[in-house]
Amino acid sequence: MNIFTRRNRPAHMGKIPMEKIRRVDKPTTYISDNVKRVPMRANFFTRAAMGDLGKKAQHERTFRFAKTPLSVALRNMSGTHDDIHDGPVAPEKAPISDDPKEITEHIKSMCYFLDVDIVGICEVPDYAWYSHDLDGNEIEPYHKYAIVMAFDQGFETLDAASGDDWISNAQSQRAYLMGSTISCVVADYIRQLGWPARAQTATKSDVLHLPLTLLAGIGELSRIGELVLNPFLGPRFKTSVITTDLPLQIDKPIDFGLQDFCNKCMKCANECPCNAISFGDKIMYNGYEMWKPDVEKCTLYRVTNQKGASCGRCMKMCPFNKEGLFTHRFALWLAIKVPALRGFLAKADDWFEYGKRTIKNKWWWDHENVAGAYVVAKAANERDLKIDTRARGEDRYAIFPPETMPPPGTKDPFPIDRPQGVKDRAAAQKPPLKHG
Amino acid sequence: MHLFSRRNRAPHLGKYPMEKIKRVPKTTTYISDDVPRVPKRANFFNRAMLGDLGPKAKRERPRFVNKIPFARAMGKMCGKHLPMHGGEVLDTKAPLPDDLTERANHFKSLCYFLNADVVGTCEVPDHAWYSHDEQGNEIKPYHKYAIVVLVDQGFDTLDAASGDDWISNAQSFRGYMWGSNIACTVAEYIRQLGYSARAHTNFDSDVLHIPLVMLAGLGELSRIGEVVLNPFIGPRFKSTVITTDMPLAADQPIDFGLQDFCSKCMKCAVECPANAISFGDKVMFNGYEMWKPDVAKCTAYRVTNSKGGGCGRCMKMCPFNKEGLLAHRIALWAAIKIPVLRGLLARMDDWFGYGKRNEKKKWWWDLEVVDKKITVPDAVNKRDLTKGAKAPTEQRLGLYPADTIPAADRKEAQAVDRKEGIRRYDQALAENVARRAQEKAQVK
Repeated sequence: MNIFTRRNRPAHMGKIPMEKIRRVDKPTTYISDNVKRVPMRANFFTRAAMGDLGKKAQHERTFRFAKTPLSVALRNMSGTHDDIHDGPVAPEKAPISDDPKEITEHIKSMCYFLDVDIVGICEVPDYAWYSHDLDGNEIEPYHKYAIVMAFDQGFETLDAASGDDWISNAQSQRAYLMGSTISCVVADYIRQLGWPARAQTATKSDVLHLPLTLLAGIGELSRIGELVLNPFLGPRFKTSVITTDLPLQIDKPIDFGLQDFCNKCMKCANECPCNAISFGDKIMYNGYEMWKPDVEKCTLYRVTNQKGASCGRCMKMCPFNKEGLFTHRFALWLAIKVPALRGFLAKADDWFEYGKRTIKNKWWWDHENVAGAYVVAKAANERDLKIDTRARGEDRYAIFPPETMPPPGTKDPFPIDRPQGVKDRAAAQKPPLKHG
Repeated sequence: MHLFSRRNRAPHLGKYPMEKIKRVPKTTTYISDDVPRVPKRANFFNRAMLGDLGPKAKRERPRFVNKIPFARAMGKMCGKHLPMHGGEVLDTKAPLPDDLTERANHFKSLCYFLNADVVGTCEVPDHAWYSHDEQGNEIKPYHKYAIVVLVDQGFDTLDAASGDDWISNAQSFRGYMWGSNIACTVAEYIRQLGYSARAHTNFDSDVLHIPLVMLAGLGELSRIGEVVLNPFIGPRFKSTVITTDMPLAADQPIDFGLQDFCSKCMKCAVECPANAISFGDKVMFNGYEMWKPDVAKCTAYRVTNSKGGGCGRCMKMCPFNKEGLLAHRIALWAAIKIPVLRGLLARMDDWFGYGKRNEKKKWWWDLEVVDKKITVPDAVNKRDLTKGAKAPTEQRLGLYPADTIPAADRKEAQAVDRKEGIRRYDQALAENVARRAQEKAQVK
C-alpha cells in the first residue's frame, strides 16, 4: 500500500529509482584492455562436474546439487526452456520506430511489465563472450547489445534463512526460472520483430553476466568479488541477459561509492563460511582490478555443503541486503553522499544485528534427497552473526588465472593446482596506481 | 519503499491483508446441490474454435492470441510448460508435519515466495471437475484438495489501456504465464514429496476455476458474471490451480458485501463493448444464482475484435480495479463496512474519472500479425468513460445452460441457438424470482 500514486512515473523507469544514482563513463572497477576470454569449461561449477575439484565434489555436483524437492521442481521447469533460448528470425522487419531511444524504452517497459526488477542495456565487449563452448567449439561474438535484467531473490525468505541452509539453492533457482521465462519471451518477441536475439540464462549462456551487469549500470563490483551489488537490492539478485542486434540506446555504469564502502566493510569476508572472500586489498585478476575470492573454496563449499543446499551467505549478510524501508533508504543516502560515514554505517549494521535470522518466518521444510528418497535433513546451518572480526587464512588464498585453466572442451578431469594458485595469488600484480 | 517493516507478518499471509475480510461457511453466491458437470467442449472458446459461433469466429479463433506478437511469445512459453502439468510421483512419501494447517501454510508461503498475489485452499467439489476432456473421454474427479492462486494482471499497464486494445491479450497471457510457472512448480514439488498433484492452468485444466476461487475464499462472484472479484485486486487477476491428494486444511469463502455493491453498480454493464453483461437481476444458471452474462456475445467480441486483441474492459472499468493507495483502501473499507454508501461510492468512481486511460503510460506498440507479417493495425479501441449511461430498456441476453450444449465428443459445429438462448434467459429470470419467493415463504 502506497500513499502517493505512481501513475506519473514513466513505465520504462521501473519501480526502483535508479535514475537517482550517479552515472559514470567507465565502471568503478578498473578493467584493462587485455582481459582474456575464457572457455565455458573454466566455469567452476563445470570444473566440479568434470572432476577437477576431486571425486567428492564431482559426485555431489553431478547427483546431489539440486537435492531439495523445491530445487528439483524449479530446475525441471527451467529445463523446459532449453530449446527456446534462440530461434528463427522473422524474414521481414516489423514497421516499428527507428529511434533507438524509443525502442529501448519500449523494451524496458516490457521487461518491467513482466516483473523484472531492474533493466539496463550495454554493448557487449568481446571479453564478455565465452571463448569456447563445452564441446570446445569456438564462440564468435555474434550480437552487439545486451539487455541485462536483475531479479530480486526476495527479502522475506532470505530474512529467515542463514544463506547456506536448505532453502538457499531454491532461492537461486526461483530467480533463474523467472529470468529464463522473461528473457526467452522477450528474445522471442524481438525475433518476431525481425532482429536476432538470444536469451542467455543461468542454464545456458554464451556470455559472462558479470561484466555486462557492470556495464549496463546495474551495480558495482563488491568485496564479495564475483558479485555485483545494486544500491537498492544489494547483492540479493540474479541476472538474465538477452543479446541482440536490435538498435538500442545504452546505459552508463553507476558509481554509488561502493569501492570505498567495501574497503571499510568486512562483513561478507567475516561471515563467509568457507573463508573464500578476501579481507585484503584488490588485486589484478585477468585484467580486472578486484577483490578476487578463492573460487575453488567457494565452489567446493557450495557443492559439498552437507547442512544445506548451496550457499549465498555473502548475499544474506551484506549491509546492502535490506528490506527497503524508508529508514534504509535514508541510511543508503548517507552511505552514498557522506563518505566519512561509510565505516561507521558498516559497523552499525552489526550493532543493529542485521543478518540474524528471523526464525519465525521460516516456512520451508528441510528435506534432502538421500539415495532417491526425501528425508528430513540431519542438520541445518543455523548461523546468525559473528561478533569478532578477524582475517582468516588470507595468506592461503588461491587464484586461478586464465593460463591455468583447463583447455576448452576437455572432458577429462583437469585437477586444480592449489599450491600454484596460492603462489599466483601472492604474485598477483598490484593494481596500477593511476588508471588509464 | 515502505515505512513499516513486514518482518512480523507471517509469510503464509501474503502481501494483502485478506485476514481482515469476513469469512463465511458458504459462498455468498447461492450454489444448489445439483450443479451439472459440463464437458470441455462446452467452453465457449472451444465452441468458437469448432464453429458454433459462426464462420468469422471460427476463422479468427486460432489467431486471436497469436495476432499480437508479444502474446504469441508468452503463449509459446506456456506451451513449454505443458509436460510439467502432471508427471511421475516419487515412490517414497517424504515425512511431513501432521498438522493440516501447517501444511496449508507451507504451500501458501511457497506460492507467495513464487510471487503469487493471493492464495487459498479448498476441497474440490465434484461439480468443479469438467465431465469430459476435449476428446470426449470421461473425467473422474481424481484429487480431493486444491491450492488456488491469483496472479495480478498489473495495474500500471491496464491503467494505460482501454481493456480491448492491442495489449489486452498480452495482459492475460502475462497472468497465465506466471500462473503456469507457479502451478507447475508447486505441482512438481508435491510430486517430489511423494503425493499426486496436477497443475490446472489456462492451457490445460480439468477443473473449472470459478467455483474453486470462491470456495478458497479469494473473492466473490460479481455482476460481470464469469469473473470473481477480490477486495484488494478487484477483477484484475488470473487464477491458477494445483489439485492434489495431499491432505490440506481448507479456507472458507469470503463476504465483503459485493453482492450488494454489484446490485447498486452498473459500471461494467454500461461499459461492456459487447453489451453482454446483465443490467438486471440474478438468474439461476446450472445451479448457481448469478448475474449471467451472454457468453456467446462476450466470446464472439473477444475473438473477432478487429481493433484490439481480446477484451478485458469489464476488468478495467470495475471500481475495484484500483492502484491500491491508502485513499483507495479507505474507500474499500467504507464499501465493506457501510452498506448505505455503496451506491454513492459506485457513482463517485465516475465523478473522479476512474476508468479513463492514462495515456502517458502506454508503452506497447499496436502491432498485428497478418498473414505471418507484422503490420500496424488500422484501428485501435480508444475508449474512456461512458458517463451517465442508463440501463437500456431492453437488453437481450442469451443463456446457454448445460442441457443446451453440444455432446462432449462432437467435432462438428453445433450453432448457438440465439433465439432459444434469449427464451431461456427470460425463463431463468422468472425461475429465480419464484425460487426467491419460495425461500421467503419458507422462512416465514
